[in-house]
Amino acid sequence: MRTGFLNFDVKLIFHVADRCDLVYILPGDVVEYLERLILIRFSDDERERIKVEIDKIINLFNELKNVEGIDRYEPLFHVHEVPSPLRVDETFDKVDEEHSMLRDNALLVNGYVKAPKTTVE
Amino acid sequence: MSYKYISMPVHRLIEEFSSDVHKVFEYIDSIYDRIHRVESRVRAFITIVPKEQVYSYVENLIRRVRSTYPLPRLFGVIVGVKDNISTRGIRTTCGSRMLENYIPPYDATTIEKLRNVGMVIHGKTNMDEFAMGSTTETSAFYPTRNPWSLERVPGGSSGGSGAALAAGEASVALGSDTGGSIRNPAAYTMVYGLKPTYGLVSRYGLIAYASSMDQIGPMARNTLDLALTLTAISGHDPRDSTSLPMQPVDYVELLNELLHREPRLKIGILKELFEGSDDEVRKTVYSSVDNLCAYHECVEVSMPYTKEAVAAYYIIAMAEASSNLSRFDGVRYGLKVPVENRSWIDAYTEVRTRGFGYEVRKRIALGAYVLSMGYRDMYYIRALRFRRMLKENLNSIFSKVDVVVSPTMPIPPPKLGEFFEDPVKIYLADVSTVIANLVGYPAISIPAGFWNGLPAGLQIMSKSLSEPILLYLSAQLEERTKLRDLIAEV
Repeated sequence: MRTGFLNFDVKLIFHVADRCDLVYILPGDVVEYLERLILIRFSDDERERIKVEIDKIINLFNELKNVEGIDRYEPLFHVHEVPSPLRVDETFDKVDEEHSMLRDNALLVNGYVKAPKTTVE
Repeated sequence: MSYKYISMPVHRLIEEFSSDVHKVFEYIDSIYDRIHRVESRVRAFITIVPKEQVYSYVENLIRRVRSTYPLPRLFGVIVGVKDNISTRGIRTTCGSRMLENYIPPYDATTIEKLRNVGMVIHGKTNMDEFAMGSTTETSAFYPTRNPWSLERVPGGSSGGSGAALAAGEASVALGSDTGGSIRNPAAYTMVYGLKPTYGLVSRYGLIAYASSMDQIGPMARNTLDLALTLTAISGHDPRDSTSLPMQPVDYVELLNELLHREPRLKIGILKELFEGSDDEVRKTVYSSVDNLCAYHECVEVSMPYTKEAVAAYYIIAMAEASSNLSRFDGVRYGLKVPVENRSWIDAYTEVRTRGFGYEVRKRIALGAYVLSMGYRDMYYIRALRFRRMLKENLNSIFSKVDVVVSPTMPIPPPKLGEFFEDPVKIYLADVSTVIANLVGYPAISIPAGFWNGLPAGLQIMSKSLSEPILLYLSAQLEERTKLRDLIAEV
């Protein structure tokens, strides 16, 4: 049953693909599923076109399955593998007073966070 | 009106202006006159800065530099800038309706650097929307046409920059290259284009497509101008966390030093990339390779999995694009739509549906697909594993040869709309160029010659930070072929 825009009618079918990856099967209408995921719509004509193109492009992507010994390599996310110049995140037990006040006073209106007024009009 | 400045190389322009600084106005006039004559047919620009504004900028520049001698190194040289590089006060659309009215409040680092050496920005060049394309046909505004053959595309995504150079509408240009977007249009418009080593040129202010592969680079009508522009824009930038920590390098000096010493190099001819090219392209590019092999040692090298490299590239690029373009929501960036009495999801969806063109929406969708649960390991992570494998394969090749060569593009410039029905065909045409982006290595496209009036380019690729070697080989080849400073009769 679909109750809202983001509630998916996804069949969660596990099966063993090649190389023992566990995969989900996406719903029958992949395009509709993706539209909800990325918050973008396609027109009816575009939907027909993209179905064909997605098939072709996924076939291209599947070329990677033919590469032998690929699992021996670690994923390369960044070509230079430089350490991050950002500081390491520090965790605290509690939020500070300012954030606490904001959280307590925030209102949710139609999905938007309505912050308390800080100026007089 | 004097047209002597239209095809004049940058190093000669500098000499002219240093003898009489006011010649720069004659030069500006001739460039704008050329734009007036050809732009309606070529459509290389999205935004052209009014001539009066350029005059005023240059007058201010002259006032500022009057007390300093010598003039800034590239004083007065007009540069066309791809429309995904932020320019303060000049509209930057990224070829998209999403940013149709966006005027950046700041300059990208590369633009700051160009301004520091006295260069003058006169326009923002057309491009595929968000750099997603290889033909400049996905621009939300209009396609750019190839000045050498107006019914054909100029390549992409920096097609406007290539076309502006080939049509004589700019003296140098900036492009950006995520999977070949500088080299592809360079090959198709008979100009020189360099994708620098990843991290050599700051990405601060470049509107992101696929951050781990995006790189800004120069395009020019000869090698020396390419070296001059690269020197101006390269160097460490603390505002870009992926910028390489290195001292400024003068590529002109290094190029001259290499041309003086003339070292003999070992060149690897990439067998698979020649075999996979059209006959005409292969023959044209081979003649250029013969020129190089007359002096250097050439050997054949093999790199399997070229089609797989295209697959890995598109998986990674689309995945990163899907994440990067989530910022275009109408709140942070993008179109503004009425939000009263509407849910956030509804308003957000409208902004993204109206703002992005079909190709961009398709790539975002596919990016989300390869990152979705279950498919991430099958596609995205596997592509990243392939990326490391490719890098190790290439390093093994570069332990035996100094550079590798191939056709930049395996096919001649397509006609407009030729690949509309089958996008995979045009994706596969990126086979030679995506490799350098996947591993972060530099690569250059050099004019190789014409076949039936259509340009073909030779690509040379090497290890990280080997730009001086690429420029050296380019200059050597240019000297032999004399394919320099060419302007198409539009």
